[in-house]
Amino acid sequence: MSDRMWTEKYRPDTLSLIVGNEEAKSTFIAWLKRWKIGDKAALLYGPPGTGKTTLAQVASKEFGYRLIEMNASDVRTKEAIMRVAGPTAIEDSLFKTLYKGTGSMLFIDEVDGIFGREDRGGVGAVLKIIAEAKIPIVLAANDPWNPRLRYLRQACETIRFYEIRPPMLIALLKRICRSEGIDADKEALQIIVENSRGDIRSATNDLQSLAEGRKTLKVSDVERLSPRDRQADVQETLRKIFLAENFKQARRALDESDIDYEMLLQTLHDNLPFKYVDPSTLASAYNKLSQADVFLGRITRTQSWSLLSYALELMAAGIASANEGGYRSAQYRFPPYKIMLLARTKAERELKKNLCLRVGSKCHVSSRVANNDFLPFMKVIFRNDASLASSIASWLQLEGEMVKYLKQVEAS
Amino acid sequence: MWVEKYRPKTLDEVTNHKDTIQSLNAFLATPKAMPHLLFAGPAGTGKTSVALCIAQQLLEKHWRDYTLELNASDERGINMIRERVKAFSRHAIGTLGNIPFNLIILDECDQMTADAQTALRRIMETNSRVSRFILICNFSSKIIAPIQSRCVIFRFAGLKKEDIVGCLQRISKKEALTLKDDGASAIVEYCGGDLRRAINVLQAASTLSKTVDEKVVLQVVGQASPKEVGEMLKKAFAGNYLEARDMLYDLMTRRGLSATDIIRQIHREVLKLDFPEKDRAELSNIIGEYDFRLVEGANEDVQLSALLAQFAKFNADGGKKA
Repeated sequence: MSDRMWTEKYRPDTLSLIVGNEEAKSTFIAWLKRWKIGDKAALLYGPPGTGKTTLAQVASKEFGYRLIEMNASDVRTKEAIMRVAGPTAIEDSLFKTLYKGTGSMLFIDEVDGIFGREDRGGVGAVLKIIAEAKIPIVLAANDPWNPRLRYLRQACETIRFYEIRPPMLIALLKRICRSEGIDADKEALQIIVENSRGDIRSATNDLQSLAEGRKTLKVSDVERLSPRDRQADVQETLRKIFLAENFKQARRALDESDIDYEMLLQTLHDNLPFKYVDPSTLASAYNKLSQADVFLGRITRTQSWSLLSYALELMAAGIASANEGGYRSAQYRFPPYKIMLLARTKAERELKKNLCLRVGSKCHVSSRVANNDFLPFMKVIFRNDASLASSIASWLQLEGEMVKYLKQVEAS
Repeated sequence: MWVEKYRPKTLDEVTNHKDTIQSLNAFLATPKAMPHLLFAGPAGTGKTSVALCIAQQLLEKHWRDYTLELNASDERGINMIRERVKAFSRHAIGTLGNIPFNLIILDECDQMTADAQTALRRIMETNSRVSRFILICNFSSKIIAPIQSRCVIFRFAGLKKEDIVGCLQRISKKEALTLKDDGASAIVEYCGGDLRRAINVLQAASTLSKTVDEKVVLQVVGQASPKEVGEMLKKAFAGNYLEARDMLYDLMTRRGLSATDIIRQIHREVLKLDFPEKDRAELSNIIGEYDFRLVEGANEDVQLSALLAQFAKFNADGGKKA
């Protein structure tokens, strides 16, 4: 199909197209706008795939800088850094005159990787460049708390990047699917996003590997994705949460979990009855989860994210509400059963939905009323009176599958 | 379906709601002066039928071209209002024929979001020269006040037993059926004041036997009413929680019931179960609480599953006391 990685093909080329991390974005732009010789460098830090490199690239383009990039593949000895970056950074740039007076910008990716044996002296070189730089310097790192980066941190304005929230990622994947002409199930995209842990790059890569050249993407297609280490992570997280013996432990386990909290609630609730067998305990645990969900509902409606900690505390209380001893299953259910069920019954639900809409438009009712007040009686008719059934079927212009559905005797 | 076959075509064919019909007939005499209408009342009492009668009588043979019929429960967002209603309500009505205005019938309006209602209010105001609205809902209290004030409100009461029986008998005669008294009573018993349901039961019964008595009706009701909710409750109260929850999942996915419908059925079924008086009050309290949380919360699975867990506990506690 295409010869380009989707991560490149769909990399944003204007600032407004960059997804998420609004605060980091505006802090960075403000820094770049007011930057003058002698100012600190910028250190962008955060998990992989959250848009650090993209931001540096797009911003340099929009503000007319020539971007000099160094990344993990470069050798980072002091000599190498000075050779590539030194002349442009320290001596006044020749490009300044060529590029409308704004000159160059130096971007050093993965600075937390500079301290290896081969990169001896690398940090010192970067510090020296920052101190003497005549152009803005941007550093990127995943883990800025590495002790060897202490001096770098002091020489930089640090800008934090967060994982991209699932709804934004889903919207992004949907956009890609649309322009690639792929009809993707929402549940399938959800699984990809859930797997990516807020990493745009890995979500986009997964999507490409699963969907490129296809017309549709279903849950069954992404099931193979669930990478084993991810499963292991989820299992480990759930084990920690469910084995928590008191509120404090449970709260900490929830804090450390990197499952998106909506999925987390669904997963906890799905596994809850396996942990608490005693009805009273189960009821009180469920009561807490239900209250947690009420807070989540309020958050969604009012966007008051400060309420999130109450929801998490109630979840924690729900799990640790009884010292019945941990549930030591080898395997927790994940993804939750309901989500799998939704995927599995999709064809049948679609058929029924269309049938209800068809009945609704002919009989002037909503599909909900059609489902509740018409379908049950139509089933009686279709099972008992073939000629009336066929005349109704042709009046409603029902398809063969729909007639079959109405005729089938339910197993119960 | 008989529901359509025997739907009244003119207001005079409507046998109930005498006062309402009288007022509406007056509007039909001077169509240009007709205000926007709001019909409120329980299901199956003839609100949609009356609206369709008005459409057919006012717009005569062009009624399909000049009527937009939408169900807000299927398209409840603001886009429905912005795109479809707005565009339609601006259609020129032309000078040919005597078309007084475009008619927009919006069914199940109480399902509309507040945003959508606000958008609707604006459209009702700006396009009233060429368009009239008939809004239909179960509860007028769920319609925002500014819309209520722009409409003449007609309330449709639940139909009386003799009205429903009379209607069923008329249909039976035309379809060469014999509807026994106990059959008719059984239908009313099951359907309450909902004529649409009653006619559907009658038609389903006719496929079992040409003589419809209580036994035949009960057979239809037995085949047609979902037993899952009752069985799910039995399992929950018996402490068989996991199986109950699996049934719940099945209802929500495969059977496509909404959480609101499920909790309503749970409420109805619980009342049927044999509990002492004091327990009934407590159960109502529990169901009510979770119904409320369903509205407030984000995840319907969690709320309904939590409710089932309360039931499982309820019986376990009762068992200890006894």
